[in-house]
Amino acid sequence: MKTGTRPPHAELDEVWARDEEIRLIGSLPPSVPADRLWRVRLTLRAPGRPVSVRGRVLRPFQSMRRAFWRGPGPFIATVSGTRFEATVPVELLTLPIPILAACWDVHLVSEDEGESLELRLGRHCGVPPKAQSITFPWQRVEGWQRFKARPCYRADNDLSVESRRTR
Amino acid sequence: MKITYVLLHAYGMGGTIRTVINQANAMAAAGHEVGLASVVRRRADSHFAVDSRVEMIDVVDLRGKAPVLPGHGEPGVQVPVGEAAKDVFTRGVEDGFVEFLQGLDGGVLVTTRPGLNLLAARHAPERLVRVAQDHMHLGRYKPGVRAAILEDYPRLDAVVSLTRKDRAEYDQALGGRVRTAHIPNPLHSLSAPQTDHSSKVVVTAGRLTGQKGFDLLIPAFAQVVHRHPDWRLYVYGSGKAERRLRKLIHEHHLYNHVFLMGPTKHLDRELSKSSIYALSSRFEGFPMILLEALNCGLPVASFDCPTGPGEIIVTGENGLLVPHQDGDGLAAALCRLIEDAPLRRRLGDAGRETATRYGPDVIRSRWEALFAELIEAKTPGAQAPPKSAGVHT
Repeated sequence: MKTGTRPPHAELDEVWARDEEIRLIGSLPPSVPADRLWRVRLTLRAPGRPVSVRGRVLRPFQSMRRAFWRGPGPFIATVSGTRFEATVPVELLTLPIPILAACWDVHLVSEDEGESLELRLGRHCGVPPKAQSITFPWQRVEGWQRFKARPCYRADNDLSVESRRTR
Repeated sequence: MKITYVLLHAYGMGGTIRTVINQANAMAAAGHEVGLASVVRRRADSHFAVDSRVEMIDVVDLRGKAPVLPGHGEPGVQVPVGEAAKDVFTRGVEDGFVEFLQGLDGGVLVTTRPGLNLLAARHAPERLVRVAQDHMHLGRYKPGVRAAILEDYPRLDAVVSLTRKDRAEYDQALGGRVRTAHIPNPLHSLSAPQTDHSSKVVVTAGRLTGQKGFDLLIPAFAQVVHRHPDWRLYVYGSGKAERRLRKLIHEHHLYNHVFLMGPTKHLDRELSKSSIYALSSRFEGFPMILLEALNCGLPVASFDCPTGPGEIIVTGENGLLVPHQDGDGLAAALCRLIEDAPLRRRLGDAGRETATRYGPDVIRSRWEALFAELIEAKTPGAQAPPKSAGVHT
């Protein structure tokens, strides 16, 4: 785990993107209690500046929709010792109209006995930089809403999940 | 003695560039007057450290100019189609290099790829000792390039191969019409950080191109992961095949086990953090990276390419060779090394011993002896040296 001013995080050992799921396996830092209920929460990131005309036209409507969008999750994590495992079904990463793409930061959260704990999920031990060296495949979901989703490491080695509408 | 080395792009990245700069540095450190000519220059700085005593010469400065794309620019007329860098040899580059050659006033000229060797054979003045270095091997060249080699290389004073096998091929193909020699590339140093064989990491490095065979290694590593899920493969390097390799990693769901690390300027350090080196090349001239891995004490599992690894690795003594392009065999060899820690250490120790034969001083003295012999042969009244035999075997 990184030291310094960085907030505490849970270290990811494996991330699997297959079988219509994103499976997260890692370990809690020793400083947090493992014997409580932990969930994976996806926190919607602010969208980037739109570059296309279509994006600029849709932006106010998307912003309005985002304000009322609850988003997927949270998802229960199973904890054994300091090891945790959680699964995010890809089908739940669907996007409401008119949102075309979304990106979520991934946290482990626990709210027991009035005390709230929040840990960012990332991979800070071992090989840097993760964003370039470790990439994951898109998983596509067909149906009335077609989209694709995948996990990805950010430049700071924290994990995000992104979803994009497809045609 | 005065020695001028010529690289197509001395400011680029790659094994040939690295080893030629190592040679130039070693010669300069030994007190020789050394020049390093870059036929084209696209970057401000060299990727590799060049000794301050080496005089850098730019033949055609292309900094700030748009790269010449295949099919664009006036193509050169001298370098045959099929030379891998044919696109770089535009009319302007060829003319600039010929003018440079004709302005050289003496000493030894060492050219380092077929296009440069052919131009030196045709245009370098006879007063120079003209040495062609082949960093690949004769059997790899396309028919047009091979035909030009057979016609023009006999005008040179010597053709130097990296491997014994390639030298023998040259002797046979050129019919003894030119002096040949075999001198491998040197390591930049024999003092390198050493592995302790404890990390669960297999490492490999090279340009991400079809030649390096990483597309064979990745499925082979899937077999390794099946038996040893706690081991990882780190791939250092960059190149055109990156996207294809990422796709392969995704298809095999190896993104938790195979990492494309990108290029590194601290390869020795990264090698020493690993426990095994894997070489999966479809072909090699003389794989320096294999020597560098041995120099760091890493045991090696390698394909037995047509040339290269077989001259460095003896199976069971300093590494494990498997049949060429046999992915299952490579996976089995990696598993054997993973499962047998004492074997890793024994092969690693023997590999370090092997590396000492390729130290910069050892290889430099072989070059010095060859140059001295060729200069002597150019001296009026001197006896011509034997064409295809000699001390450099």
